Amino acid sequence: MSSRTERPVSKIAATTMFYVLALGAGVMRTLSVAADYVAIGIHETLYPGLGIDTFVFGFASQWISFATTFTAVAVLSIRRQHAGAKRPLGFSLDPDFGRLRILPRKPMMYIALSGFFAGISTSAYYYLIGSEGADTVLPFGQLVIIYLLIGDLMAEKDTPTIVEIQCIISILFGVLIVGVETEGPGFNLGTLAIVLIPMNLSSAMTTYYQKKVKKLEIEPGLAVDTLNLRLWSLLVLNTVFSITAIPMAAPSAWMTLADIANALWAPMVAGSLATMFSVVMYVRALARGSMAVVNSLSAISVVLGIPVAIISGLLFPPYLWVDWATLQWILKIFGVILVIVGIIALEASDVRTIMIIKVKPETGDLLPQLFAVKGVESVSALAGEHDYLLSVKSRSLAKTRKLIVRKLEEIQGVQTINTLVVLKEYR
Amino acid sequence: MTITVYLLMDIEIGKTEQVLEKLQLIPEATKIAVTTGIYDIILRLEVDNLDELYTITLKIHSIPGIKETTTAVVEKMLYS
Repeated sequence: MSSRTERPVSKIAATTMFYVLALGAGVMRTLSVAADYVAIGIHETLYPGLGIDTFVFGFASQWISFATTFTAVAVLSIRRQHAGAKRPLGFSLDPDFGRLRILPRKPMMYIALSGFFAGISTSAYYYLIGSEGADTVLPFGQLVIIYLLIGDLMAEKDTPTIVEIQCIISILFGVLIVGVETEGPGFNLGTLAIVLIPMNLSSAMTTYYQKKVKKLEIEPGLAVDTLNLRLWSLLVLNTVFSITAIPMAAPSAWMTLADIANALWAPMVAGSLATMFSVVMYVRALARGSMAVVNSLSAISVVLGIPVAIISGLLFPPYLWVDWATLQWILKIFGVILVIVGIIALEASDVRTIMIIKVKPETGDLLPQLFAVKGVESVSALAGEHDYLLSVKSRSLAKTRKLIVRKLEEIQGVQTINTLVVLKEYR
Repeated sequence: MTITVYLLMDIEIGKTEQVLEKLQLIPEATKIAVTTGIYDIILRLEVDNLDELYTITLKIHSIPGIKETTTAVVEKMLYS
């Protein structure tokens, strides 16, 4: 274990770290998708035209993923001497990580809930990829960003600004356009309803509980680590998914389970490791930013999926060959531009301020009133020359002035407010 | 019990990056913010006791480029 007092401040600026984590999660997700392409390509090469039951494939893939994650977390628990202190190998992935362990009851409960909802979402996903017209409907899975935006509006203390919403919408439409299929069998409303309700709602709930658990402190200065979070939530996810998968697949299809696992274990292990890194980065990013923004940034995986699909098509022709029409290429390019513009604009619009407040003599405790103001992330009551120090997050200086400073000025007893705009921050 | 402390610093013109590099080496520093306004750098420390704070403060005072520091010990903190 390494509490915050035992770790030096990061050499990378906090905003840069946030974007590295959120975009990195998307890059890792792309690698995991690439591993899936390789697995399907190998299967098609070994058993041409035989097809694959998606639930059996998912069952093998999910349990191989659990075994891989368990082994990886056990290896990452090995301690070694680093910068004068004994730290586990997993420290560089998540400074909160100590070792493979059962976490206390409260975080375990949230982890179980996140795993439960992830299990429902995964079952819906495997059901859809085995059904007709999945390619056309699955891009709508990205609409989860809207659910998260609504969740942020209700749960977060900071209301998203117009700039933030514009960026999120730009990214969202970008990924929808990138994923759109101009040709295909079409889809029915029932299939779309599965994407929009059980799949997206469960994904949003998974993200919500992942964020909630990462915000918990199991002891002062020590948050729940993402490696144990991934491992135990995956166990619950697999249990829920298995309960759904067993009756869904035909009994004869289960006979192919051993063949699938034997033939495809290598790409499945590679995919599992990529997913583990993706979840670790995603949840660490969630601890630093709002759910909708993290999800929008990690949706870069949809854009990166284009070269992955092309390379897979070249590796395994004709099974995965990409044959897009000109219109589809134009749409994809527009989509990529929208995603990139959204990400850059979002990155450029983050404003953090520190406010130092002095109060009039004989003023009581203002801590709860100051903390209640939207946008205020933390308030510290100070001993000495100044009375309170506030850490404030907003999307524009105008919003800081209009919505936050004015609210603070209205609080009875506040004498002076000094606003310090943060140019660079290291955490 | 951990004590959280803010060190509010006034830095000589052109010395911010140099001071920042030295502050990043302090293991007890949990947050460093370069700011505009009445202070140039705000440093958050987490220490075990006031003795440790005294030692770190002396170390910080020896960093060239720091004009003035104000130490504010946190009595209570609320965060989201």
